[in-house]
Amino acid sequence: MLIKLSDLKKGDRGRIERVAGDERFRKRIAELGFVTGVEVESIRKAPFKDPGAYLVKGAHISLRNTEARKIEVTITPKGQEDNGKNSKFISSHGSSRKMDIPSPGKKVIEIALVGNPNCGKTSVFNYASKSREKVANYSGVTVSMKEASFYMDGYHLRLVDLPGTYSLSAHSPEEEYVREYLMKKNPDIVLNVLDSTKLERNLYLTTQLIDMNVPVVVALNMYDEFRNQKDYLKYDKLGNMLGIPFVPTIAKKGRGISALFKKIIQVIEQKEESVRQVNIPYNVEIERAINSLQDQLQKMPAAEINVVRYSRYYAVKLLEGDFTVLDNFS
Amino acid sequence: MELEEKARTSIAHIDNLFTESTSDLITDDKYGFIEGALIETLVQGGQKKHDISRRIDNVLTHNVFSLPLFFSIILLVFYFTFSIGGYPVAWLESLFDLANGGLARLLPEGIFRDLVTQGIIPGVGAVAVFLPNIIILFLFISFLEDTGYMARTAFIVDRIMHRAGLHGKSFIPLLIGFGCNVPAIMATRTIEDRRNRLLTMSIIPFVSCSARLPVYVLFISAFFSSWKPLVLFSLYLTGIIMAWLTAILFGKLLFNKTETPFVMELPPYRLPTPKAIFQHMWFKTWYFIKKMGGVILFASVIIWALGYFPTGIEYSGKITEHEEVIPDGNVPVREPVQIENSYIGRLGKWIHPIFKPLGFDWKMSVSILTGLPAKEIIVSTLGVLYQADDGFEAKGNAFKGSEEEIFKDRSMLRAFSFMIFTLLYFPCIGTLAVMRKESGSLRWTLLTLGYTTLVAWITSFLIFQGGSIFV
Repeated sequence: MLIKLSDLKKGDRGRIERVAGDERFRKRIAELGFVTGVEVESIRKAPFKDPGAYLVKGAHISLRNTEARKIEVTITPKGQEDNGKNSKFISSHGSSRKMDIPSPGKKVIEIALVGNPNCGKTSVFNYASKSREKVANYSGVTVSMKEASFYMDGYHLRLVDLPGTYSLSAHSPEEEYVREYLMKKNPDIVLNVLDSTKLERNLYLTTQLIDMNVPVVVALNMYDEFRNQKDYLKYDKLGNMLGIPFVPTIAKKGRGISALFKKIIQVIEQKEESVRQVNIPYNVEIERAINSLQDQLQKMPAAEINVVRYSRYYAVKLLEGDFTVLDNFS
Repeated sequence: MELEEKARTSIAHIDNLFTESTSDLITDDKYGFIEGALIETLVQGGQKKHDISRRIDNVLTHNVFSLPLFFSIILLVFYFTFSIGGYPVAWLESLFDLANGGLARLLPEGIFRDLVTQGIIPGVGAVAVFLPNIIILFLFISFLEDTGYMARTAFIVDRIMHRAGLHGKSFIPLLIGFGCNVPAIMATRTIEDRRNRLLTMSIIPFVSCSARLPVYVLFISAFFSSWKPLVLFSLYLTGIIMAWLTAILFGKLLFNKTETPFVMELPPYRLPTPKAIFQHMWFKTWYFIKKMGGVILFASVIIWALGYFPTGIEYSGKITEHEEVIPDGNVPVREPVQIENSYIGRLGKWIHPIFKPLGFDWKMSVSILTGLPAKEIIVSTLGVLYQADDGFEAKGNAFKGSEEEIFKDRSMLRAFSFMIFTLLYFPCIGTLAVMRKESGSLRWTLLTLGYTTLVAWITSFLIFQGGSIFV
């Protein structure tokens, strides 16, 4: 029986069957894990019965009733919880090839820090910039960002802390900013910080970085909390599958941070073998559309953007109905 | 555009083939990819961290207790900010006085000495002495943010704030505004959505900050001795009502209807390390100092110069007379007649017709101008102009005694009208500077400036003229 998520009783679980509302809303909510097939638990309602808090993909998310009404669920009978696994899954072995690292051998490494809000990104930044030469705190037009630089193993590392985002769509000024920064400033490497206790949702942003075809190193942050949950991750294997090196860190205590930056240097020196360009496999029809859009995109003149590199990302964005990416073309 | 056409055709084609939209299919495939990868690599032990957070939330976001708990925490924060902060504030005040007295004796007589001892030190000092308060406030905010409690406060008050078209996250910045509007505007950074952030910023100036309190105390103790708490309460309430109405008005007029969905993560509770809290506090404090330092210095010098020049012949004699006080350790005091003839005095008199319908005399008009950098300066200007001794009581009485004939019977009304104007008009220069920086929009800042002053004028006009009918 279909009921609205807002009507789900406290403590009850339900499987998402349908998400109504406009494209923008569905995208926003999908980034946080509300997609069909996923199990949600209603945790509580705020004092005035609105908004409600829901447990989805390991995170507590607050939704107003007007929004929760747009999500339809079937109640899961007690004792049959399936740990929120998405029923349909596709093999993760995407096609891949060697990734070209921009200008190897350079002595200044520009690193862009991205990650979900609350993933400990700022802790990584603060710890790394402890030996800071300079920390600048920009509060730009709509977003604020910090910058620090330091030296390691003969390299000058410049670290830019970008605003925390759940995805790289153009839903908020922050997301747009991060996206533009990555594509126009072309940092040498993206440092993607993940909250290890919410891997599935945090990796959603990573899939967009994969689409973007930029070199990435992942910091598996809050690894101590993750281990305390008695969870175990074969992160080397995961890294090989995604073509991205994974380094466990506990940024709050400064653990794993130097290993993280050593890994970044290795990637720049092209000594890291797991680095590959992986294509996330989409549905056949979508792949066909992506390919034909990519062909056309690569012929387009764009002043500031490396179109060849980002063509797959652009094609996916276009198919998602996000036409703002076209603003970069003349 | 050709490419957009092509993309739209593909989307329509795929939408037709499947029950789900193209965009949803892409999202599903992304999650499917992640899931496939995790099935092969992740072994879950099943002990979720969230269980502990959930138990804490059973209390902190409880249906009945959460709001009283929240307000107790906030009251405690304010109590510590102003009670403990009071000591270093007093030390700083005496330090500034000492420095000023010392410099007054050391520096050779002349414009430069007056600039330093009458302009820069009192101007910068008036704001700098609040630094201990600000640091303590930032310390608490950083702690509450880092533990994850701030997100819960947004969760429990969202329903109330939503009625004014605001977001639960707007609540904390507005509360901080009662302490000082500048950190309040900085606190709006936690609001991700630009619409809500601008809206919150533009109503913060109506929240009565602590710098306005001296003005209220002065007038209330002089004119409303038997109504003290009620009058004070009505002032704060007026500010809150104005903020509320403005949020609704701006929300309807200046933004389109598409509100971003209120989706907010409630992060698990964490005990932050002291180092992290101090680091966050320090980032905020340093930003505050950087933003405020230059602006306050600049504004103090300008206002000082306007009150100092021109140094005419007829009253320059009086200044030298007055400087005999200096050996006692006092700072040279500006003569009322000097202010009256200065540029700012002339300006105050010149714009007096604008304020006359509100019941203000020219002295009050002048003090409104000198209060632009910081509203507590209004009190000291009135003191100088009415030649009052120190202390609120004395200033108030001096003010009372010098009323012009026509206002005699409406002194309470006039005082109330002036307090309302002080509450609502032109947020201080520091607030505007930070608003300009944080909103990134000069137009928005100017709009807020003009709007608040207009609202102040209209409200005071209605109060004075409306009240005059009954008195």
